[in-house]
Amino acid sequence: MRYRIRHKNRYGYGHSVSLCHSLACLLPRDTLNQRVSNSRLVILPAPETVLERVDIFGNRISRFSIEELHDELNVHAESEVEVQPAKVSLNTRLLWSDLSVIPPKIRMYLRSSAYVPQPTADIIDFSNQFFIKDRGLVDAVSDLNQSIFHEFVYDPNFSDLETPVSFVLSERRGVCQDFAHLMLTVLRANGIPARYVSGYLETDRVPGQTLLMGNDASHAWVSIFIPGTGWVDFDPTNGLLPTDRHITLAWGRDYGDVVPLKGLMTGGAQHELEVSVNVTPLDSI
Amino acid sequence: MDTKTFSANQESWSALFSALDFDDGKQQSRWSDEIERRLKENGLTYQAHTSPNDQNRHGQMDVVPYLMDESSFDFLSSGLSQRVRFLEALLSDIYGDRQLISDGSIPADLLFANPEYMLEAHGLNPEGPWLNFLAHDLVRDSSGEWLVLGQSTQAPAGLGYVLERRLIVSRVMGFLLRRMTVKRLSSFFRTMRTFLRKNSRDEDLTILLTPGQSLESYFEHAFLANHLGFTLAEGDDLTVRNHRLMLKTLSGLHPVSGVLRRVADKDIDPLELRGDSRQGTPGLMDIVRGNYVQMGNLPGSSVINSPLWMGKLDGLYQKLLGETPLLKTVPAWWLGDNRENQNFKAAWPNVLARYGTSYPGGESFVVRDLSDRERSILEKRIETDPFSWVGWKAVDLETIPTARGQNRGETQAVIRMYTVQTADNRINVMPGGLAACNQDAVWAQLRPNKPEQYKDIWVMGTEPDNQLSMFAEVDAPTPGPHDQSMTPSRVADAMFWLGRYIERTDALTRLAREVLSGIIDARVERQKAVLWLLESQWAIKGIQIDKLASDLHKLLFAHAANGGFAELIDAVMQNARATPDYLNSDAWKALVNLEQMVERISWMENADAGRLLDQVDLILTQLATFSGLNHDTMSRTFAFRFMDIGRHLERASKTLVLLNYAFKTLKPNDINQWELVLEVTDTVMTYRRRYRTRLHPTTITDLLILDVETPRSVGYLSAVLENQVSGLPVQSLGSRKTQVQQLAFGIHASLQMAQTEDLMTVQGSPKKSLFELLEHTIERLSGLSEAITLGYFSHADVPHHLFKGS
Repeated sequence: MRYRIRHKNRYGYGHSVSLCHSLACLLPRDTLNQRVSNSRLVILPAPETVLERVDIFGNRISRFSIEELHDELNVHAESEVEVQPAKVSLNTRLLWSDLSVIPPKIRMYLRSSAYVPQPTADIIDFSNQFFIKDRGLVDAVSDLNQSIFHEFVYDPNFSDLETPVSFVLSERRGVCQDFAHLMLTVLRANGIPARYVSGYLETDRVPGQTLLMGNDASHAWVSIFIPGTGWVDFDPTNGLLPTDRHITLAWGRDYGDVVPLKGLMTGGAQHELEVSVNVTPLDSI
Repeated sequence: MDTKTFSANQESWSALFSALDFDDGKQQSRWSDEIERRLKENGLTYQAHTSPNDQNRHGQMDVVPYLMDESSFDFLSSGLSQRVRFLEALLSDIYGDRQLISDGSIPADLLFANPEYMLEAHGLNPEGPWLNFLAHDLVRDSSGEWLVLGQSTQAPAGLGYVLERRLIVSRVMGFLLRRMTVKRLSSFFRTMRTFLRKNSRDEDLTILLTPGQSLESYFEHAFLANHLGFTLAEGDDLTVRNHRLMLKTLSGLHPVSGVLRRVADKDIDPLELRGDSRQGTPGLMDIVRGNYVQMGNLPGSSVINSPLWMGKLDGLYQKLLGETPLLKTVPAWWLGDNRENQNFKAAWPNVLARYGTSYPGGESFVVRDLSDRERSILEKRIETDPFSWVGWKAVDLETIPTARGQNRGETQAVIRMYTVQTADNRINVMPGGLAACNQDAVWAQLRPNKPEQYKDIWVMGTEPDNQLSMFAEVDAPTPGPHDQSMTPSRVADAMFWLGRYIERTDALTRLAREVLSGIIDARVERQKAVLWLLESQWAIKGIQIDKLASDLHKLLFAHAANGGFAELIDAVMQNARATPDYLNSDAWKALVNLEQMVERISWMENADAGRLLDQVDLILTQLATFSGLNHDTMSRTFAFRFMDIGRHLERASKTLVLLNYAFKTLKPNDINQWELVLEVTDTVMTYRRRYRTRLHPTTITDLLILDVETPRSVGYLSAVLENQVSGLPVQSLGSRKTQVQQLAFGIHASLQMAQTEDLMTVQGSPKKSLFELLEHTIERLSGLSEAITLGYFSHADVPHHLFKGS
């Protein structure tokens, strides 16, 4: 599938801002089954320069500053992306408890991180129902993925960036970010290398397909590392394995590594942020 | 005492001891006392610099130095130089392609468990070295072998203390240093300065970036910055514009090309790194990435501070340098490794354990000294996350002599030595440093940052080190770009408010004195006048005169008093602490005394008016001392000018507000009240001398508003303001300077043009024009304050986070 993605961000300020330094992670990366063409960032007011670099994860980071007085800031990302369904044959015989050969650099994804805490008793309780002795890795992770989808309520008004995973677990609600962080916490607690993936979802109703749930803005899911196979994505918000309706933007240990847009302003006082995302399948045009 | 294992020869020790033993050992205790006295003196300054909860200055000085032969020093010097080269190579690999991780030379979990490992430092690709400065802690075991205990990139932690203590020691026992040909430290500091100014143009600034006054080592930062001629700056003093780092100063933005960094790696840039930190500057990582500044050390380098490396480093020398290490590291077990963990458990409980955060801070334990309960908690923690722990066996340390009164005892030491890279990438080792001593050898090596005592390290050259004058043990402060207008805006802001709050405190003290005298005075009219004065400031309807003393305590002196002494002195101290090197040590002492007096009076809730009055008089004297000191000794810097403007502006508005209230509420024959007006403005004597008449509102108007010779008169104050404002730096941005100047001129002119007879009737009643003058002037003064804030302090505005996109 080919898509055009328009991701618009608009900051409106109560007072003029004299200086704003920003970082954006809004341009999608290439992956094994995804090719990006014609991606660009349009920023108004226009900064002197936009420095683009690739971070340790391979994500594309854009850095810019607005050094003149401005009352609003618009950051529009537009890209065309072609996604193929991932071709993985899952080794169903591999036990979850038998991940002895994890390549050294992948071991980074075993540790806790800013949004993925060390497991507490409630997390361990929850995770024990999936990770039972002699169970297959793919079986256990799929079960976890399904459980979050079935047992948790998608509720855009429940959480914010500070909501801890324990609260998401006890209340059984949240949004895609929360479900991804909860799942990562459980996976890492059981020695399974897992990373956070940010991206988009094609939510248009296609005849014969179900409507997928995602944020108005963007989507998030997880990816686990299976020795001998590689990285395999799971989307706990929709209880499925992503195919060609998930477009990857970036990945990292958690949300903190791939914040789409952040910044610091001088002046400004009160401000508001409006975000809109539009994913258009190009093949159907 | 057997001295064969000492790092210096017998003759040196004999020379030292014969000097110390002079006069039956009295010389030793005399020097000891003198060193202690001087340290205490500095300590008071230090105390004033830090918040009260934070006043532990660890370790007094041992008068017996740590002696080191030139040959020992040369050996350590080559060992440490090699080690810096090695660590440099290690850092390049860690933040490069991580070959050592891929090939298994370093366990991946050891790196990923390291809390100082910074993913954002990948891709920095520095032109210069990662490590400009490094501190190494070394021990010498009982067989005489040197071992490295740990290293710290938080450069140059402790350097300020090294300087401070060497200065004291050389003042007290300077002739001995010369006779024993002790090497000087000055060239080390010169090298450091040269490195940081490597790519600087003359007009560029070099700064010492400090986390600010909340930190224990702030005094050290101020001391070091002053000595090196660097500007002491906090993250909020800086801004990034057009890919340059700029200092926000009174005369606008000035480029910074060198940064000696004392802010932790992850705190330097809230945009890219720890977002909730207020110690950094947004965009600074990009400045580093673009090699736009010389920074010591580069962010990310703290990864090597972690003690987790201890047992791993020596085995990597061959791979990274093709050499064997000259200096070995204290052997240790990384508990993330099964076999090493087994060995650790086998040696339990005769082991030390340290958590993976930066050496030498962070948690550490002498297992031997733990209770059973504490031991099992520790075991549990290690079991949960073994990757984050390192254990080792205490090294059997050499014993060294120490002073005990007039005699001598023994102690053990960890010595801290410093290295610096030169501009052409050679490595210099400081011929000196501090030895951290503890009589318990195990605790000595567990907590070298919290010793019982410090020793000055004397490296003895074979010939006198006469590269500098006899007395300049360390260089006099290097003249940096000492342009006045380079004063950070934040400092000027704090000085302005320091002036205003000192004046507010002064006014409140005078008011309190009059009220308390009035309570003691039994006359009813006088007491009524006192109530009137209180009402000018507080809504106090219903206060009984006989209960006034205790009510007054609640109103003025108690901790919770709104606008009372405690609140004002807090504001005074807060602003004073933001301007560390702009007040001299006597002024600091006066402030500390003032704070203590206010604290004392806050507890005196049951005291009668007489005792409160005594205390208030002391406060007033102390305020006069502070003002006198500043007036006499403070150089006429811009910082001083802002404090002075603050004081005069505050004093003028206070007087005007009081007069406005008086003319609105008093009749010409309210003699007691009018007298109080003169008392609180400190003009009774002047009035009597000049007018020799009964008190009369018309003459009071003449004296307090229009007179140009009385220092408390608004006419005089406005002349001073105009003069002080005219000398402020010209702003490079906009034309606000003229606005400030015009306002001050306008205030002064309108007072000069006013005539008594235009303001008052012959009978002594105020005319409408008097109120207009008073109210206009009050408004204009607050306008002047705003204009100064806008024109000079506004770029002290701090940045705020935008909402994060999702």
